[in-house]
Amino acid sequence: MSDTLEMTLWGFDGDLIGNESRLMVRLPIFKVNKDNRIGVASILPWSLESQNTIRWLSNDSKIEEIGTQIKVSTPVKVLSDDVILIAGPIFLESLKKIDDHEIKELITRFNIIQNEFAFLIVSIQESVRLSDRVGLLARQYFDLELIKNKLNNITDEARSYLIVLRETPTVLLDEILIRKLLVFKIEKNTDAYRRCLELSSIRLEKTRSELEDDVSHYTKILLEQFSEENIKNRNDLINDQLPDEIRSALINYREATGDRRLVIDKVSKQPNITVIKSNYTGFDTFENFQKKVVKKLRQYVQNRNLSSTYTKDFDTLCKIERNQKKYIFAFPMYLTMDKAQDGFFTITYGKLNKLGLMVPEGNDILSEYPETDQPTKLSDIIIESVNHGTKILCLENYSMREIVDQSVLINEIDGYTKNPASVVLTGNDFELVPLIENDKTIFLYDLGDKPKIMRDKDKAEKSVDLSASALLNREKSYNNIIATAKHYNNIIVDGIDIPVGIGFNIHMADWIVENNRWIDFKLWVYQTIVDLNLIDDLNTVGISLVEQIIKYQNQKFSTNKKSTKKTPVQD
Amino acid sequence: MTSIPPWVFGLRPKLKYKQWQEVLANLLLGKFSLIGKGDNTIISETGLGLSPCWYWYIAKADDAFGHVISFWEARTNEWPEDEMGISPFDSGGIWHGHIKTSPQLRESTEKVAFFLKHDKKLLSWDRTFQSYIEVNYDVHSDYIEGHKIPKIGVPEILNISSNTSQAWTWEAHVKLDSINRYVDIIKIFIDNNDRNSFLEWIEDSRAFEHAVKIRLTKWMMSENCVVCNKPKTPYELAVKSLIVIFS
Repeated sequence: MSDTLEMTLWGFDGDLIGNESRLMVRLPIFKVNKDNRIGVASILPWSLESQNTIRWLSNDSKIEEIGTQIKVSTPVKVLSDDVILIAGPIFLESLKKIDDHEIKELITRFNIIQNEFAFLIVSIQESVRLSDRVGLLARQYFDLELIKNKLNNITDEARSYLIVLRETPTVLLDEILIRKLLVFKIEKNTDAYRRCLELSSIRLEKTRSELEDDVSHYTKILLEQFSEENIKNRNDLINDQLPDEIRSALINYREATGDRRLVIDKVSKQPNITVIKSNYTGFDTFENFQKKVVKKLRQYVQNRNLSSTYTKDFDTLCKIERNQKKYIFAFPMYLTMDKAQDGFFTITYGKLNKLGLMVPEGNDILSEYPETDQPTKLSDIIIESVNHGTKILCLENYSMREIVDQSVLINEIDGYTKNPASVVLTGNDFELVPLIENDKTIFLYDLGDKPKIMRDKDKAEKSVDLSASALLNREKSYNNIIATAKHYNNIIVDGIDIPVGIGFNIHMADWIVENNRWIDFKLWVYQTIVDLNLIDDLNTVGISLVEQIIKYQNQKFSTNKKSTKKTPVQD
Repeated sequence: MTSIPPWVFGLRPKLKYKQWQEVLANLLLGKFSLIGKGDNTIISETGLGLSPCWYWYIAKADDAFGHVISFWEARTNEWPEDEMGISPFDSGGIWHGHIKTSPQLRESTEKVAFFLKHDKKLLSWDRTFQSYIEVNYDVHSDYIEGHKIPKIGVPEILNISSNTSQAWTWEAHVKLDSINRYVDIIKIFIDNNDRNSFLEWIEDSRAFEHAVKIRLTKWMMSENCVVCNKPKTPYELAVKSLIVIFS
C-alpha cells in the first residue's frame, strides 16, 4: 500500500453541535479512492504506510456514529498527516472583527460547510502556527481595545476578541482567565468577578489573592500604556499591527525544528540579555542614543540580567555566538534578507536610503556622473560593474555584502553571479587581495563609516606623491587608492527595502511581543530619536526615518514655537 | 489481576442526542437519567427486555468511543443477590446482529434467550470476569488491546474476521436507579483543549448552581482528570492506564 493512493475527505472525527464558538483541530475521516475503504486517522502523524495510525471502518453505517460529514460540492483531497481545522459560526463571526490582513486572508481560506461552520485542511504544524497567530492577534487586539477605551467599558469588539482568545487551542489558560476577570472588573460586575475568581483559582492552581495580584499587574501594564503623555501617540499606534519583520522572526522562533529548536529552547531558559553597542560613526548622538537604549531596557529586564558591550563590527560576533545568547543591538542594524532569514529582526525606525562609493583614480565607471553628490542607483552601479568587469569591494560595514547580493537578487541583475570579476569582499579582506586594479575596482561603503574613511584618506594623502607625473609609477595599494579616489555620497539603495532599527536576535522574538512590549519600545524609540535630535545624523549616514518620527519632530517643533511665544518673560 | 478492573465508559466523538459538554457534566454528577441514549441503545435495551440501564465495557476502552473516556469503580460484594448483570459480549451487538453466532440468532426470542443464558450476576462480578480472562488470555493486555480473540470465549460466538472485539468484550449493564449506590466515577481522560472548552462551558452555563460549578471544576482539575495534548489521544492514554492497572 502506498501513500500515493488518493484520499478524499469525508469528514472529521467529531461533532458540530456544542462546538459553535470553538476553533478545533480534528482528525480526518477519508475514503481511499481506489477501493472505497473508509479510514479514520486515529494517531498523529498518520499515513497509509503506517496501518496502526488509522482505524478502518468495517461498514459505512458506522461512519455517521464516529464523525461528521463535511458537505462540499466538489471532492476534497486529503494527504497524510493532515488535520482538519473546524471553526464554529460564533468563532468565525468574532474572528472577522479582527481587522488584520493575515486574519482576513485566513478567513478566505476557510470553506463554509453546513450550519455555518467552516473547515480548513492543514498540516499539524500549520494548525499550531495558525492557532498561535490567531491567539496572538486576538490578545493584541483585545488589549488595544481596552487601552483605546481607557479601561472604562467593554465594547462588542473586545468581547469578540475575547471569544477568539478563549476558544483558540494554543492560547495559555492564564492569559484567558486574567482577561476574563478584568472584563468583569471593568463592568463592575462584582458577583461575576467573584465567581470567576473562584473558578479560575481552581483552574490555575493559584490562590485568589495571587490571581488578584495578576489582574492588578495586568491592569497596571495597560494603564501605563495610556498615560496622559503617551495617549495621543498611542492612539496613532492603536491600529498598528505587528510589523512584518517581528512577525517573521516570531514564526521562525516558534516553528524552529531540529538543532535550532534545541538551541532556542535552551537559550529561552537563560535570563541574561546582552546589549551590543557600536561607536562606528563616531557621532555623540549615536552614543547617547545607545546609552539610553540600555537604560530603557533596564525597565523591562532586571539589572543583574542585562549587560552591555561594544563591538567594532557585527562580524566580530561570530555566527555561532550570535545565535547562542539573547542579543539586542543598539546601533542601527540593517535588516537584510540574510539577517531576517537568520531570525534577526528590528524595532524599525527607518530604512537604508543611501550608501557611499569610492571610485579609484583612472576608473571611468561613473564617467557619466561627474558630480559626486548626483543621485545614482545602486542597481545601476552593479550593472555597470558587470559591464565593465569591475569588482565591487565592500568596506567595513557588516551588511554591505548582503545589500549588494540582495540588490542583485531583487533587481534581477543578469550576469552578476556569472561574471567572475564581480566579487564582493569585506574591508577586512584587503590584505588578502593580491592585486587591486584601480580601473577595475570600486569600493562601496556605509555612510556611517565615512568619517573613518576620510581620516584614512587624510593620512594617506600625506604619505603619497599626488603629482600627475607620479601617477604611472604609483603602486597599486589601498593606501594609494584611497589618497586619490573620488567619493560619491549619494548612491541610492533602490528596489530593495532594508529596514533599520534596534536589532534583536531570534531568542528575543517572544519577549518583544509579550505584553505588547514592542509597542511601548517602538514608541519610546521614536520619541527618543526626536528628543536627541538624532534625525539629522541618521540622514547623514543614509537612513531615512519612518513617517511617524517626522510627525513627532514636526509636533515638537510646533510645540516649541508655541511655548516660546507663551513665555516671553523668560527673555 | 491484582486490582479491581475499572468499568469504562466513553463518549463517541459525535453524539446525536445531546451536546457533549452537557453529557460529561451529568456523567460527573451521576445524573444518568438526564443524559439520554442513542437510538440503537434504546432499541436493543427494549428488545432484550432490560430496564433502563447504563452501559460500560469492563476493563476495555474502545477508540470509537474515544472523545472523552471515563473509568468507574464498581462495588463487588454489595450488590443484591439477584441483580444482573454482566455479559461477555456487547448486548447491543447481539441485538442488532453485528456479532456473528452459530447458530445464527434470527428471531428476537432467540436473541433474548442467548442474552439471558450468558448474562451474569453483578454480585462478585470481578471474580467471574477474572476467571474468564485467566482462562482465555495469556496476558491481560491481549484482552485490553482487543487484538486477540479469546481461547474459548463464548462457544456460540464465531471466531471470524467479521466479528470485532465487540464480540469478546465484557459489558456491564446496570439499572439507572442502582448506579449511584454501587458505581463511582474515578478517572477521566480528555484532550486538554476539550477540558478547557468544557470548563468554559460550565462557567457560562445557567443550568448549574455555582457550588456545582465549583465541584465540577475541582474534579476536572484534580489528578483524576488525565489530560493529553495532540498528537496523544485520550484513547491511547486510557489503554496504557488499563495495562498499568493490571500489570
